[in-house]
Amino acid sequence: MRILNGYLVLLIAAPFALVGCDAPKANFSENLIFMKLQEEQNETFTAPQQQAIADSMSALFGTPDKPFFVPVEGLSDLLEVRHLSQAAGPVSSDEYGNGRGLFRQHCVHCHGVTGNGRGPTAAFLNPYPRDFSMGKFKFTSTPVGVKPTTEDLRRILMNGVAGTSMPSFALLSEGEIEALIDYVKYLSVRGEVERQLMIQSQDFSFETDAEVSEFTNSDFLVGEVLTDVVDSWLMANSMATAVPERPEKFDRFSSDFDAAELSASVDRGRKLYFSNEAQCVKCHGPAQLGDGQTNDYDDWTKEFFDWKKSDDENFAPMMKAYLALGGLKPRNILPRNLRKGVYRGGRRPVDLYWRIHNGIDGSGMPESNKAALNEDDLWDLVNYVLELPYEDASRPGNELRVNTKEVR
Amino acid sequence: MINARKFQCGVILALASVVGCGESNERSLPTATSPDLKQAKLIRSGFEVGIPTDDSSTASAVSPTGFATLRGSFKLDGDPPAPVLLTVDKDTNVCAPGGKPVYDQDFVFDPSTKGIANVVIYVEKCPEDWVHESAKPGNDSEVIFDQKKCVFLTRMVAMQTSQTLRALNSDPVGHNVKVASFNQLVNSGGYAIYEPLKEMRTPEQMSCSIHPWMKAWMFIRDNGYFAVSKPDGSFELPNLPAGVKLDFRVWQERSKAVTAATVNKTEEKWSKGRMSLTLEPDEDRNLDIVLNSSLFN
Repeated sequence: MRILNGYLVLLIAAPFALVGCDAPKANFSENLIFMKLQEEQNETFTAPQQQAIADSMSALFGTPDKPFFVPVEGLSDLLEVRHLSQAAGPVSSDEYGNGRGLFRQHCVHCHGVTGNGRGPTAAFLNPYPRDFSMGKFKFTSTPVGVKPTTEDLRRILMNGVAGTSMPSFALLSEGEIEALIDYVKYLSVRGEVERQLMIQSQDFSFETDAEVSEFTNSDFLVGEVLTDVVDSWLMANSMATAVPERPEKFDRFSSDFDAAELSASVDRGRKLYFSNEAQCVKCHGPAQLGDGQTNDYDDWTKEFFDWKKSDDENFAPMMKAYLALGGLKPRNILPRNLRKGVYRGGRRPVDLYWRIHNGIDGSGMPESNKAALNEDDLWDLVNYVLELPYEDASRPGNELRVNTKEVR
Repeated sequence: MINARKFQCGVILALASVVGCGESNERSLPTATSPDLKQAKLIRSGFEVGIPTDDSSTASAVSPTGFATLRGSFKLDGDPPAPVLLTVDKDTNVCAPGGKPVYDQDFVFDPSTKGIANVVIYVEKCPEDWVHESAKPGNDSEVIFDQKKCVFLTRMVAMQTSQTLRALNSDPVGHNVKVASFNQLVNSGGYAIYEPLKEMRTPEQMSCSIHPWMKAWMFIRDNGYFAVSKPDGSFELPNLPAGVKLDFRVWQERSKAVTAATVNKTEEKWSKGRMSLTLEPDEDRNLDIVLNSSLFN
């Protein structure tokens, strides 16, 4: 009887134990990997130093349920604060059916609550989801080192990234897309500010309260660090590369389309592909299968490791630390296989023009040499790249690798 | 039965000891902390009163009383670090002719003078109105940066934001030069131009994606108060503001911040690579700086 009673109590209590508490409160996680990197190059962070950074981050940006943005100059040109509360927090909808908690509904499983690209599914994806905290984005209309424009982010959200796990969110309402764009900017600014605080905290002492408040005061946190990152976003919209109109003769849907001109342009593009001036062949390979340069890594990986020193005695312990702190197993970055007809940054001629003209930030893809290639050359390359998926891989004249079967 | 129990115990003990070791090994890793909400609230309340104002209102009352020169040299005490062998696996006929081993040049040392090259010394924060005419932003001269045998010929490129970099390529193979907001292809015999967007706090790495073992460093500053030590370790910073306290920082690519030194035979600790000096007007101060080899290992 006593035993039965015990089971009864258990039976009654069990569901409560499971349901009783709410889901754990969502928190932004600290960028411990970056902290470790700083410690490796300088000194170990002290407890008060780490605390001051955590407190400052909380003051500057709030929590995933209650985001905050300091009303800095130009903020209205960067994002709308009301969008943040629409995208943040747990998933729900208001009385009109407008979605709330959009980021957690649509993005968080890959990009993570913190936007560090380490959500629960991240390890199973190839390529890994983007870590926003570095402030780098690959498929932009702006030059390397410059932030994306709002339109660039919108294009990625609307179209997805072909050939990756990033889907299109075109079925969301325009307002929801706007909210997500602003939330991505918020997470990215947040991530970059955290990095800056970790770097710059090394110039401060944290032994007395007075020293701590030198770090946590508004002049430093907002006036120097936050403003700097926000400004880098604000200048992006004016730095998009203007692409000249693609000549109509190359456009199959235009009345001025000229098949002979297009074919001549493709031929010039092929020559350029192998040329000293463009050097595409170096990485994308003689058969355009992306089998040229295959031992490089992207900037997100290279930030933590110096791969040139993989024989160094420090390398293995660093790798262990990186993985222990939640880092994803590093993978090589592969040049695109141009014969698949899959274009991550978009398949319109203008998208390819941007990729060739500006390069791809964070990857090995450089911008074209402005002194060696002009506008017409770039269109020839675009036309050639667009033609490649339809071209016979054994087309004479191209030096083929033995392993051309290995199509990625 | 007893044996089985013993075995169980053994397993549990073994597990426990494994876990124990794991913990002691991971002690060097940073662990998560949570924000103190009260403190965060206090910090945030500061944002409301003090949305940053123009710097002019808080500018210090002191101003320079003249100009002075700081010169000196960086010498090594002890043995230089062992050179790092690079893996050259591409364009080997150009990059490693004759299969000769290629070493990283992350520590350039001249045994005859004991001088350390490519050490950067710079003034950390200098109000614009303190800067001498010759070091003001606006210098628009061109900096030449060449590469040969898959080596960046300048290991440490320091220049002002207003200057432009002309990247050349003296190799028969193509390179690309990648740093900060620049990643441009430089064809054999060709060139590419880089106009920096903003200054850097510490030097940033330059690389070539085609030949990933290639490495150099770049340092962009608004004013001209920076110097890179020559092969004999010497450096010179002319026309520095005098009569005011200047914060210098010293950086080398292996040590990053140089945190200790013997200056004119006195041992000094440079927290975060920082050293403060006040120079007299028209003074010509010489610093014989000796760095211990332990900094670079």
